[in-house]
Amino acid sequence: MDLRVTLQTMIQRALANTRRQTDRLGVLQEQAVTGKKIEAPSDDPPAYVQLLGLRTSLGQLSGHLGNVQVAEQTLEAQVASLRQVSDILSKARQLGQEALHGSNDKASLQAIAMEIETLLERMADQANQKHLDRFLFSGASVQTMPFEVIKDDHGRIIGAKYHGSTQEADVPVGLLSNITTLISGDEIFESKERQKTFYTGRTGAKAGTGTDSGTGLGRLSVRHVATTYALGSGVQPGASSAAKDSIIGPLGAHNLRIIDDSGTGAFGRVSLNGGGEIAFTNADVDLKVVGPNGEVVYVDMSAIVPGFNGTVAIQSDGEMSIDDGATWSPIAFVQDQILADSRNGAVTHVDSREIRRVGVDEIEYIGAFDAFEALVALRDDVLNKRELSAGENAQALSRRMAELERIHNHVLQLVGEQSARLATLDGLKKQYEDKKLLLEKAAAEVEGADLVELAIKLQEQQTLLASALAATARVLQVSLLDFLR
Amino acid sequence: MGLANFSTGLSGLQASQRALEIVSHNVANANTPGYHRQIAHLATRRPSELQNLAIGTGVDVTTVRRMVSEFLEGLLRDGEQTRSATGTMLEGLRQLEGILQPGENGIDKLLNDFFVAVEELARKPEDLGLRRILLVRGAALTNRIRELDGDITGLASQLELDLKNSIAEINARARRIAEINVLIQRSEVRGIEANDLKDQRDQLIRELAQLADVRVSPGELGAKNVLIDGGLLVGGSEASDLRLIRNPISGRIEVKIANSETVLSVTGGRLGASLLVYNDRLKPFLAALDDLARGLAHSVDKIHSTGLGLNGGFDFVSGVRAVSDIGIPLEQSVKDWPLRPGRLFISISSTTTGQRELHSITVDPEVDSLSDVANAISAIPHLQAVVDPQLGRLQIIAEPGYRFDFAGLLPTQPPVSNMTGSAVVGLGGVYEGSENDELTFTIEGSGTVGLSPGLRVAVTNSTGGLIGSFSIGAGYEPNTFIEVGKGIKVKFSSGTVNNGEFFRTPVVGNADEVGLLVAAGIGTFFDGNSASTLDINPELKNAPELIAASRTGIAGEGRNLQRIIRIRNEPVMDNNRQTLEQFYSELVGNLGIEVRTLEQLKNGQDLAIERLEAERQSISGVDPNEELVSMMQFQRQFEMSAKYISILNDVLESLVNIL
Repeated sequence: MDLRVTLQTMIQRALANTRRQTDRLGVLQEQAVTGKKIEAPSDDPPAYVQLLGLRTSLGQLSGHLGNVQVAEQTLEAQVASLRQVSDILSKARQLGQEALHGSNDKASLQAIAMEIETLLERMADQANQKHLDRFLFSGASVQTMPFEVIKDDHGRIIGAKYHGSTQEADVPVGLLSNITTLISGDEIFESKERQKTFYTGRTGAKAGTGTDSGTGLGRLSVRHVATTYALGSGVQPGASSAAKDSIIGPLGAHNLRIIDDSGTGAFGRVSLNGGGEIAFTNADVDLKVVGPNGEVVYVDMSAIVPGFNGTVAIQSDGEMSIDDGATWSPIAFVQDQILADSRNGAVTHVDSREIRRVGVDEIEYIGAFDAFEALVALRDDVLNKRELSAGENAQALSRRMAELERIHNHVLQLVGEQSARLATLDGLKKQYEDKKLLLEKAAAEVEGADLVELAIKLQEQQTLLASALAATARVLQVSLLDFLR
Repeated sequence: MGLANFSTGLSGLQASQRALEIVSHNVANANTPGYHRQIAHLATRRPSELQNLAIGTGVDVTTVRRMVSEFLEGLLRDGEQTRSATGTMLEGLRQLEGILQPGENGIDKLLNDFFVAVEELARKPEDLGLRRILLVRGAALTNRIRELDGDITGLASQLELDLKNSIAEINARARRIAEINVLIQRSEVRGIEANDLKDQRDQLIRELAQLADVRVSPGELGAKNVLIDGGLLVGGSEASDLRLIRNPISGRIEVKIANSETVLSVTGGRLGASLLVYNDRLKPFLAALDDLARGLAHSVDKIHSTGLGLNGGFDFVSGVRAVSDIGIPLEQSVKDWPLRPGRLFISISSTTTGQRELHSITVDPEVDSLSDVANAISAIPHLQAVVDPQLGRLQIIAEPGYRFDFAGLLPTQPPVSNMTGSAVVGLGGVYEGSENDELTFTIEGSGTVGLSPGLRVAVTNSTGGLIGSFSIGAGYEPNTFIEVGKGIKVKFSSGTVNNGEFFRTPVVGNADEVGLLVAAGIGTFFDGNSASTLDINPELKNAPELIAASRTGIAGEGRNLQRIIRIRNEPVMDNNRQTLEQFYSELVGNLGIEVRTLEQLKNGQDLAIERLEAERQSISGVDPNEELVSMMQFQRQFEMSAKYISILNDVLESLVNIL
């Protein structure tokens, strides 16, 4: 059946079609104006969901990328500081060499010591470096100044105390990967290659078998408590014995030889450890007897058994202290005696079997110096502060050099590790940047409108609309009324 | 030939006059909606028989026919009903799509900004500026979620209003149809075609069809009955009212008729579509938004509540979330958050000595109430917990000189009652595992730490698996930490230890097995339990230092933030199937698909209706040209009939003159 086409039909059709054309034109126009083909989810739902996924990945990636950049900057700052520390240590080793092998006049040694002091100041400065308002060597306690420099009354640095954290700080640079940016300063400036502890001195103390936990330089003090004599001779400790006897040892370690020349105990001769004989009378109640090595005992000869001629075994009890006399432990004359430092809880194992006289031994906890302790010790040994013999001092300087070398190697190793992390970060950065570029491209493809295609379509649509409107106008103009009359 | 011949002419005059009137009626109603073209039906009068001739006696207008195809009208009605439904639905969903405002202010963008801010803070966790930025980003996200909830709720209210209007329109039309039915019946009884009334009724039915999916059945004497899902909306001269009821249980809006309690299933027209959008799109969308808000809050708060801010632990904390009743088991008083039986670890540390103890309480949500929890916490030394019966909130207070937290950090000294030697044990580090465990440290060999050869400590986990055995004898430097694994460190001071002696310590990866901190809002990042109430925890708002960035309380440590960052890729939504962003993207994507489908559907329906309309116009439409021709045709007929009468008059006059 042919359709009757009425005016209404024509008007409705024209309206519906122009509306549709205008709609399409509107969509194209919006795309052209915004440059995007997806504005609302319904524009292209699958593409929209894809776009959201791409945006999520991009957001994550830009977060990671920002973190990588910050981590990189932090590590670079840290490596730069560590390089400075390395330079300081190199310079210190050079100065040590000069002191060891160069001219030994006091003025030049003073000058070297001064230079080492400057190096210490520089070291303290580097150790407390900040980057982006965070301390570089305080571990995770980024707001706490890591090293408190301790100075003596003359303003000279005598050490540094670590106040930072042992906890490292890290930055997330991926979903599951973190990179350590701030290592604990404790770890950086300390050498952890502990070796057998070295003793210099004349008490006879040696390193015990256990592992010490002291660091840097230390002192073992040995003092006398009481001397007792084997029975039979009638000799007694003199009045000054407790305070002034300088011998230490178990029974029989030291011996007193008494010859009663009078046969009544009235006078005779006495000697210590085979040393020079000294005459005595029974009026001597505090007689000083000196041994072959300068060891001293004070004896009371008032009650010598008449006619006694012979050797008397001596037992001399003493005490040891590792904390400069703050606490004392009785000497047990054993292979491993543990002494605790009341100031920091560190322990030192002492082989006390051979302790024979009072005195102060210098202790060096080899391999357990921190960088400050090593430099301070070097400076002091350059000036021979411990007043060692020339030979001992030269050896001590050599040990300081070895210590510095160990610390230097440790720092270089850390520079290497942090540089390796930097390289990892650099790789990661490139990888992220590439990925970001790909994602951005993908997002632009999904979201962005093809402007050339759009221009053509827009033109086409415009032409279509114009022709539809023209056709409608033309058709509606025609009416039978025009042809009547 | 007689006088009757005048009447033949007259009939012509009258018929053409009627026909002209109909033409003019057609032209006048050319643009009246629902008007059907009318045609005058002309028929010859019965001829008069004269002798053997049957002579015509003129013409009559027998009927005025309405040009209508009931089949087509039915199709059109159905088409318009579905188009109207599609249009309404499209309109509703487009508004919803508009509210979501994807782009700069979209949830997706704000979620991304939030997580990026977390990541940025992780670079420099101690930075108060970055902490503030995180709070601002968090607030932007929660504000948007709340706003969205408000806008969608607003849309729902608007739709509810629309529903009421639709019902009112339906009821008004139903009453009008019933009235017209009466008028038509009166006409039809008298044998008069009630064309215009039928047009009016058809138009009303068409309008009704756009409002709801009505069915029309013929009634008595030209009346029409209108049914809606079997319910009689119009039965002849009677109309029943539809009414809207909100189901108190499901919250759905339902339609019932007259006094019947049966729920009508209205699926077509504007009403059906509005009901569908309201009940099955907006309400579920709001529920999904609640899920999203809770999913976000739960996953972030779970981690945040077990971390530490810049000030370390709390001396006082007040929960921001409430239970409905502090005296009934938590499972009944907490509706929005998942709870499981398990332990809650609480650490107490002394601000003077720095000593830290680790305690735990056991909570069974099926049995324990919030009050029971408070009592259990109060049993821990130096802690006091209270619940406010009015507010339903938990508060915990530490004695002066103590702080508490839920970070589950190792105690500084483990319980060493089994250790009889003189060596002092110390623990350090942060457990990096995610599951809770208990480590046993057993001494192997007797002797002095750092001295005796062969002295070791063996570390085993709760299932007896050996984690490692470490030397603490000769070669071990006393008081230096030994890395046990998973971040745990142990140290022994110089002293004696004895073979076979041991100590145990729990290692905590998840301090809150129960989920209590989230449910009570203690130390959480967010506040609120739904999309409409989600906000930043008010305690944090002016105190960015309280953001629990770390697990140790050390300023530059941001491990807790790293755990929060990972949420982004964890399937925390939809029964652990989707990430937050996937969930949102699916929600929006599905909406987009539906809008897109509806748009396409509506375009198709528009075209189909245009075609049907064209066909309807082809039958029922008024064509001015056609009417013009008819008009001229009847004008000529009138002129001819008048001429005939004039001629007949002349003839008769001639005849009279003859007489």
